[in-house]
Amino acid sequence: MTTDYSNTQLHDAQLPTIDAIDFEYISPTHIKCTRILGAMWSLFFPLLLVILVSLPKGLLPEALSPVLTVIFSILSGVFFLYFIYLWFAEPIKAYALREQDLSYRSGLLFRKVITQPIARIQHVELKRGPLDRRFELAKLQVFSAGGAMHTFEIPGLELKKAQAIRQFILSHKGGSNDG
Amino acid sequence: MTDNTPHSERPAANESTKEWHRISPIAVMFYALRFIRGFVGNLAYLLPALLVGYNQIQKNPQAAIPLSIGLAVLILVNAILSYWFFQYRLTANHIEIRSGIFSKKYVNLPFNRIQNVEVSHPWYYRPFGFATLKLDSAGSVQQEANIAALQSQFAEQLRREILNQKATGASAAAIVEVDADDIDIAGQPQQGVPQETLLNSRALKDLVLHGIANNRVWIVLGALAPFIDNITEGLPEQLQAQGIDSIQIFYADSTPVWQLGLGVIVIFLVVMALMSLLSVVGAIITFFGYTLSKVDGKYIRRSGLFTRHEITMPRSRLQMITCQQDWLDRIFNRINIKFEQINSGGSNNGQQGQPSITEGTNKIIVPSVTPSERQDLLNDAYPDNQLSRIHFHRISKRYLIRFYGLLFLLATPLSALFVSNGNYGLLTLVLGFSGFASLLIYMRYLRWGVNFDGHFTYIRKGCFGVDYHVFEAYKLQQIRIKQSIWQKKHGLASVQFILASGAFTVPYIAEGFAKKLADSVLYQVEHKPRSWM
Repeated sequence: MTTDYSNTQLHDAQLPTIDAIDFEYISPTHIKCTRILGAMWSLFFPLLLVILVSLPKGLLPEALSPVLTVIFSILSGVFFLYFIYLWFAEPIKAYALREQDLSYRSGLLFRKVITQPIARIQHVELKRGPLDRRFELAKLQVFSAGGAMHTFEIPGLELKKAQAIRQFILSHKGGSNDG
Repeated sequence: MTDNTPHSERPAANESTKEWHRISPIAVMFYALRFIRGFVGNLAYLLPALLVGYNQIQKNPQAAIPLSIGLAVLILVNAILSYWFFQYRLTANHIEIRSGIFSKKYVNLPFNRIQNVEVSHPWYYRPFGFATLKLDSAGSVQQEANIAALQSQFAEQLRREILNQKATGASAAAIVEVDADDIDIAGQPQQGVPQETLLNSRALKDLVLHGIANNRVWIVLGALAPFIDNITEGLPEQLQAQGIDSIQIFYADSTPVWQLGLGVIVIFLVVMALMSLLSVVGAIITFFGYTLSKVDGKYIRRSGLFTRHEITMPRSRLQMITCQQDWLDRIFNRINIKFEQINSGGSNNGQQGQPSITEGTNKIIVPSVTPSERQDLLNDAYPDNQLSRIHFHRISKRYLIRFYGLLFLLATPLSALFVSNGNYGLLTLVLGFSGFASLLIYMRYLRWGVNFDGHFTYIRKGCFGVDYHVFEAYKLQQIRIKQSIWQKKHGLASVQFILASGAFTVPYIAEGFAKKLADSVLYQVEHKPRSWM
């Protein structure tokens, strides 16, 4: 197992480094879509709240209406915060494809960089929701043996690009996973 | 007892691979017990039906006899049908299995997809020399195969066959054909069986220590689980009937506080003693007669008091070695070693995998070894590892600030409240708890460390105990670097290593070091294609 193993000292400068990766941002169309969706959600509960207030008295049970008011207000607040977060977090999402691995950067308050070596990829999926299909976008999902919790995922890729990445992964040498 | 091996059922030897075979009829016993176990396990759901039935029986007791006969017949018929419809076939490098009474199931498992072979000898098989064979594949649970009854020798040969097949690779199909015929001649020992080397065995004393230091109560409790409800249900009523009112004992104003405290401590100690006793029993049930041996690159673990389990794991499947030492282990100076491989559980992140009676097939655990034995085992699996010498990079002190800040925010108002109330009992509780929590976090900070020596990655973590995790960098599946705004300001980052056996996070290390770690580990994975399985 370890016979062909070499352990020559590599100086830091020689190693390819994550720091030098040139990240590419995800599709602006996707960012716009998510923002619009977020806005719609953050308007949905205030709208319900307005409807609730303007309803004629006695249509709803006496006890129900204050409970609903509280629930809808909380949800309005949550979705509004979520919308603000989305607004700033979406444009940060970026990815990079190197010869040997795939990286994805995300997170506004908690910056996260995930790197997935291509040789460890088990299978690839392209997922396309209704909006993705409408705007020629796709979400790339990459599965490794690290388990479902650690699925590598890049949203909002242009379909052509996503297909190209998938093709690159599939035709990558060195993906010998069978013992 | 008819022989289940294929050669007794058909004449021509080279047709062996074309025919479907049944397993030994003794499997009826296996299926019957499995049915009963399933029945007891689902007792909670069946309870309403049982209660109705119980009432009915109380009304007319003469119905009990036909009812139990009916149940017995049901179990027997189910077992016999399960046996009858279970058929298997060996082809060049596949095993095919047909099973199921109503819903038919067909599994075709190529040998080179089989992850694990587990041979177990349930106690009721042992007098007759039978074994069950469990084949795990990398995929889902549906893809695993249980062959309920094979002659021990045949099971053993099949296991060797499958694992050899894995070693030689799928290209050697022709050779495998010959080997498949070899299997048929059960009873005749195969020529050139490699000698097993014994790496470790555990004596009863080790198991007792293991039972005390590691909570294995659940093994015993797990077996009792269906009955616990019944045991506890009647308890308060019985106590009351004897004039003991448990609530009164605790809330009576007349009892002095020290008496109450002493009572609680005594009860606590008694419960603890009982628990450790049960735990020791659990450890002995699981690990009795423990041996770990190695034969051409495969680890074989055998243990078990009632049912002897045999788990085989190819060395190449090994993802990580964990040396675990809880605080009691530290007192005894013992270490639990885990040889971890692919965690097919999925949701579990592998750090605290809930073991079962068999300890699962996804890891081989060596219970309570001495430090020198640990070193031997480690050196055997990972030659050139430097665990005993490596210097660990500790995490930043800022890790503490977050927790201490939170604790301070929670504890101060509470303490102030209790001081103003004059409720000193609760104040001591709050202060005591905060003190303990601070100590806990501080210990965790002290333990956490990481380093990389060019081939192996070492992670140290723990609290009062210490866990060491060692893995070969090229086994990595994915790496994540996380950084909050606050961490970024101070040049810190967390790094998470994702392996097939689970994920490990090291928080609050210097940003530069985290990136260097990631770069070097990624280089190990990528510079040369190497199989991680």
